[in-house]
Amino acid sequence: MYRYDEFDTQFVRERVSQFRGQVERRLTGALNEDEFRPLRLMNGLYLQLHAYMLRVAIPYGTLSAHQMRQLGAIADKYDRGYGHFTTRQNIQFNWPKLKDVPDILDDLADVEMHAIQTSGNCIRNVTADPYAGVAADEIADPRPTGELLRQWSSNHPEFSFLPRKFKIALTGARADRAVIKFHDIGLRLVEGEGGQLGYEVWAGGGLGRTPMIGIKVRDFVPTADLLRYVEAIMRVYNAEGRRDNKYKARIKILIHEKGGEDFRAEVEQEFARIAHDPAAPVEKELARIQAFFAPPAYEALPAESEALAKAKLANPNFARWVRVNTRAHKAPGYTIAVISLKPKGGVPGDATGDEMRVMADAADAYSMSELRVSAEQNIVLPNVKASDLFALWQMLDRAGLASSNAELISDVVSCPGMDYCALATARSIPIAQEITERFAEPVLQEQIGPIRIKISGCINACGHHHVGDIGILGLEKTGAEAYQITLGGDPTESAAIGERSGPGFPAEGVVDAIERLIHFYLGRREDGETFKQTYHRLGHSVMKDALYASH
Amino acid sequence: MAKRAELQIVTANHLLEGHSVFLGEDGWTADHHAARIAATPEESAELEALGRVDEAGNIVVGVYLVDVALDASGDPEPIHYREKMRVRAIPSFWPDPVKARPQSLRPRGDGEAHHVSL
Repeated sequence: MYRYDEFDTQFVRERVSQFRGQVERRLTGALNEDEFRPLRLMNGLYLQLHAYMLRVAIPYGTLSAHQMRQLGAIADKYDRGYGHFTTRQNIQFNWPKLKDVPDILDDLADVEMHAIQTSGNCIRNVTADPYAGVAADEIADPRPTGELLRQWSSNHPEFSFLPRKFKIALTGARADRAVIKFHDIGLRLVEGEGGQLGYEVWAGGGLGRTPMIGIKVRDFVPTADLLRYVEAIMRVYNAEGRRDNKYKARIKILIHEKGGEDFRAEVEQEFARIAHDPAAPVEKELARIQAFFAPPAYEALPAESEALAKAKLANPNFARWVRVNTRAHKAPGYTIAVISLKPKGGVPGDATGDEMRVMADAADAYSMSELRVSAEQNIVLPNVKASDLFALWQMLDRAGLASSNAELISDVVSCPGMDYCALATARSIPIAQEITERFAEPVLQEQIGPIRIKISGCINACGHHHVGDIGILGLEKTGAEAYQITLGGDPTESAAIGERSGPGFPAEGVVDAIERLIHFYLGRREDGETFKQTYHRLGHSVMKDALYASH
Repeated sequence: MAKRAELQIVTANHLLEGHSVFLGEDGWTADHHAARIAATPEESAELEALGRVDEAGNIVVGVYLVDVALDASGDPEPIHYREKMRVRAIPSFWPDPVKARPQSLRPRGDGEAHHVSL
């Protein structure tokens, strides 16, 4: 994992002390709210429906056990004993008091974390494949580039006042688990000629009120040129992105209005103008960063673990968890384990201080002290020996953290919705809870197979509803909450924006409608088909009708 | 917001603590039932102005008016579902008001600067 150097440490500490001064001046009245708001937002502090909310960055979704433990301590000491992991791999604390926030930021700085650029019209926390560095289908670890981008974009003088917020996602794998086609810039590591590593560059994707799939800007940019290339894109956007209308200010609108060809040409022109300086410190810095992400010393293990096979035979619940919640690791004898934060009736992405400590202990004992946060709001242990899985599962199970539902129907993604958020038009968590209860039966869940249900409590789409197989959008209709369902969305490399079904449902009708659709799918699927495949075979209108059929 | 309701109360968030508060007879309170009720547009404007004084005085932030109706006990209850959720001060799925509300956060009249008579 990356460790702060002196410069990083000083930068973060200085920011904490600046913010401490700003809070003091706010409390004495030397700063009024209009003056203070942009300052608190630059440090991730929002004012929500019931309280302040502090959003803490987890760069490219990677956490050490030590950091996870500190997040749990912060939850207990300053908050109400829990935190919320988000679709952007951040964690949000829902109840901090203004006067405590500088202390929280100091506690975060103690473990090399901060809340800088988790809000505002700047380059936000860079997100990545949660299996980065360990996935079997990966070409190379994209996180050194993620760290380089984090350092480069932190307090970048040219890009601190962009037309609107800007999100960059990275993956080094063939399968896209970082939703790169729905980011302002999406980067995919690819091998060029002669095995040279570089990035396929996508731009202009996004969700929100105007969902769009990004366009490919370039097939290949050598790693050494990537920062210059990203800078060229940022410059074109910064100069030409619309500042007259907040709703048309994201880069996706610029690219859409300008057309892909013109946009590409301008980026290339700008790229050519930014001189390549072989003596630039960038390459040296990248090499320094890369050393932190060197693969750990994996033991030479047999691909199959006998102990694991035995434990699975003896314990069907454990066998199910292994089947559903583990993923292929690049090193033989190792596995990637997903800790689901979607227990039956739970709040998607929430973890208590105690749970964070258990996950930290689990990482120390069984995953080389490292954890990841996924865009699905789950926690990932990236380096687990297959032979340790049973002990890990027992530890998680005792803490209620062994739900076997990764990527199944009860692995629901949900924004906080109106239960927390000041922007929400409807609640989303109670719908998620009802779904996890309705489809709790593990055998049924496995029978239904992989399916993504994603819920947003407003059009801003923090719950990524546009890319759910089933997307649910909470709106207000004539003074009550109403839920619009979209079908056929896909966040992966086969990116698709869900298509709206028909009239919305009242809160009490949504889960019944989904249940009708699922039963219809189970009745009509052909052997081995997933929900997505059945949807594409039968077509939108047939599937959508099943939502409304009342028999 | 569509047509103005008959009755309104003033709400904001407490600057220091962040939670929702309502302007009562003796200052800001976390209990919306103790909120002062404006029955005419003029009273609403006066009440809101009073709230703004405390916003300027850095006691609260985000002052706004909330449409209410009186319940069977004569207490003001918000009409819109968003405000109904907000007065509970906790997520809707939490079992009822363990809501640890301090009774009155800061009495008005604590310094002349904050005192405005209606």
